[in-house]
Amino acid sequence: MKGRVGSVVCLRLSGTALVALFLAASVHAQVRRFERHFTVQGKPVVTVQNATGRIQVRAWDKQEVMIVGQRGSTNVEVDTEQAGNRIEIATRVISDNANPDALRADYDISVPAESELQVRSDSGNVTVDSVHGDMSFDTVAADLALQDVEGYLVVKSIGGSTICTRCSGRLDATSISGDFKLLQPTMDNVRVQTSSGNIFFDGSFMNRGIYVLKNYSGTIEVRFSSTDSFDVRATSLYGNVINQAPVVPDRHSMPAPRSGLAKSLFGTMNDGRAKVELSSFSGTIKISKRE
Amino acid sequence: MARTRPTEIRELGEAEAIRRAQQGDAEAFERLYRLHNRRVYALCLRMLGNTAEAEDLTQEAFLQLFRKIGTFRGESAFSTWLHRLAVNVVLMRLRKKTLAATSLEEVTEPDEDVGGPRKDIGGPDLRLSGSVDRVNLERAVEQLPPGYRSVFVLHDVQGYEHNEIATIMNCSIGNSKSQLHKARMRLRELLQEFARDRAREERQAAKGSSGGSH
Amino acid sequence: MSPTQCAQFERILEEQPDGPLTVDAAAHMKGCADCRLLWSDMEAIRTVAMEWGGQEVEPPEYLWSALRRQLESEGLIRGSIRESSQGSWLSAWFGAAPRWALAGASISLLLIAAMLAGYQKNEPNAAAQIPMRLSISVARPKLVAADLGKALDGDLKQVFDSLPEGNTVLTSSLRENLGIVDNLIAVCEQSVREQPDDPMARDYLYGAYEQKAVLLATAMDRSALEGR
Repeated sequence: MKGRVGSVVCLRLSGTALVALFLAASVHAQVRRFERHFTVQGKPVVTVQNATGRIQVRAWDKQEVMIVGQRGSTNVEVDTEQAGNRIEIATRVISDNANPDALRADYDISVPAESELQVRSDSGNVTVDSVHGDMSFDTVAADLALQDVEGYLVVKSIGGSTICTRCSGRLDATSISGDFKLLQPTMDNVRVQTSSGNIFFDGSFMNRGIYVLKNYSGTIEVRFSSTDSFDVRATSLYGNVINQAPVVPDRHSMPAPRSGLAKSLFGTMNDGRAKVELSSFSGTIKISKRE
Repeated sequence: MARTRPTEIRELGEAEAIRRAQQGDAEAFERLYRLHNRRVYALCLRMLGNTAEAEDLTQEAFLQLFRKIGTFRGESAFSTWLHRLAVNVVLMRLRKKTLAATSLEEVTEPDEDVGGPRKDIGGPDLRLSGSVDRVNLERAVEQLPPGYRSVFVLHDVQGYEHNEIATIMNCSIGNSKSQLHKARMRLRELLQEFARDRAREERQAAKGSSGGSH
Repeated sequence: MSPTQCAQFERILEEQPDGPLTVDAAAHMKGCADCRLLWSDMEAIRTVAMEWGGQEVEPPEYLWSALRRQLESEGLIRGSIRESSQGSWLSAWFGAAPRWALAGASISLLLIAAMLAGYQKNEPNAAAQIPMRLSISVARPKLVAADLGKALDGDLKQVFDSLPEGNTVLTSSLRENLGIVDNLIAVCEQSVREQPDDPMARDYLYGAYEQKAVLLATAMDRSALEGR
């Protein structure tokens, strides 16, 4: 009997302790959760600097920038500052001697649809949805996902990969090992360079558009449809060029290949209204028909 | 495209220079720089009060402009676009110097309204009109909060109209006028303080030179 | 004059700071010394400000030179001193890097690339492709390239040792990509050795060195050395 009572008491104590722990954790979580609101006018510029953690930016219909976030621990602080229409958000590390999760900060940011963004992240994925405005992204290992964005997009990455879905405007992107995927873009100026990553472009070539895709190894693949109109210059020094496009050779007197070694394709599809330059050191270049 | 001889730089109109700069033409970049550099530099210098910083930020403003020139579609005046960039660049520098703590209740430019112009207008203070000179005015402008400083320099010093300032600063025309008035009121207070300090120093100097012991 | 009328006067000034005064405001001012003083002070400030604005200021000429160099290094200016199509590899990257580190890194790498491009055949044409700001003899290319290569690797080691300890993902990504770029350089060097006359092979080697400079600049930007 005594044992059973003892067990019951023990259970109750454990239960109480558990509840206390849970409450403490909730309070702790609330302490690390933060929220900021900034009223803005017109087209704000929002800058985010975060070493580790997720950054998610979405458009909404308020003239306000709202930041909701979570810090991994008290080893990081979040600084926010407003200067007119410019909002700056930065994660500051207080103590570096902590495990990586403790240095993490995650952000959910809501911005007016017309906004400019400048994002710097080392690791931790970045997603942007439905924002219109010039954007720059500077990442080391963070992957980037842009959807329905429009503007002058500049991407500098070391190892992170980028996927753009239904993006418009202009893209300048460079990486060392990151991949690039451009799905249904409507962009009239695309420059993408990666060393060991792959590049995949599946979208329209706009009239007077310029598309320069370059890598060292890996695959460059572009898809076309029968109504597309472009001049193409595809060169791989040590790799292959595999072409399904019915191009007419050298209609616009493009310069001859500068290398006797390279595999090349020079030609014009339909009227050659866009310019497409694909080059690789040792990778494979594919020009494939869209099914 | 044939390279433009240096003497032809001056003949390039702005629209043509923009178009050529978008293609990467070096002379076109220089033409745009020459057309606007004085105004941008003057703006930076008058807002910062420091030649080294003004040079730095002038360069930064043009760099940002030329990086983005491919996106310029002529929906606004080029100069307005450039001056907006320049003002933003300067404001960022000013804000960094006077970093404020954030709060959930933060509103746009709270500093500007706290400790602003007194409600008791034109009190029994020294008349200013004999005491406003450029040196004191520059000193006073340096003490203005960034937002007031921007509007005052843009309007009263650089001569921009309120509709231009509204576009540059992304605010309404009414806001521009209101900020300008508040900036002038604050300048008036500062100039009055300078005048009082000067008067006090003169009185003390006069006391000192007349012997002082009683 | 009543405080209410004075407050109204000030409100009119706020709404129309450039004047002209309304009839009511002008009438009030005639009878109110304080408001007359206020108006007079505002006019004095405006006048001096306008005189200040009327003075021409000319930025120093070296601003344009510095700006132009930066634009060239970013590949925004085309058809200027550097004609190489590989110039675009650097576009938009260099804006974010500390300039002094970048200057050191890029000049080192350009020297190495220039040496390697020139030393196999010792062609004057190769030297002519070197950007004009480098004035260096190609007399002893092998030794110079090796020394510069060691210097650059020394810089990299110092930078990597200064990366923040807590962010292991950052450090491992940078190291991994450094390995990728070094392999790339080795492969491109081999290609140039085998095909010394092939301009594309040299272009790719040049581009690989630029990638290493970019990696160095990014690592510096993230390291504890930034700001020293």
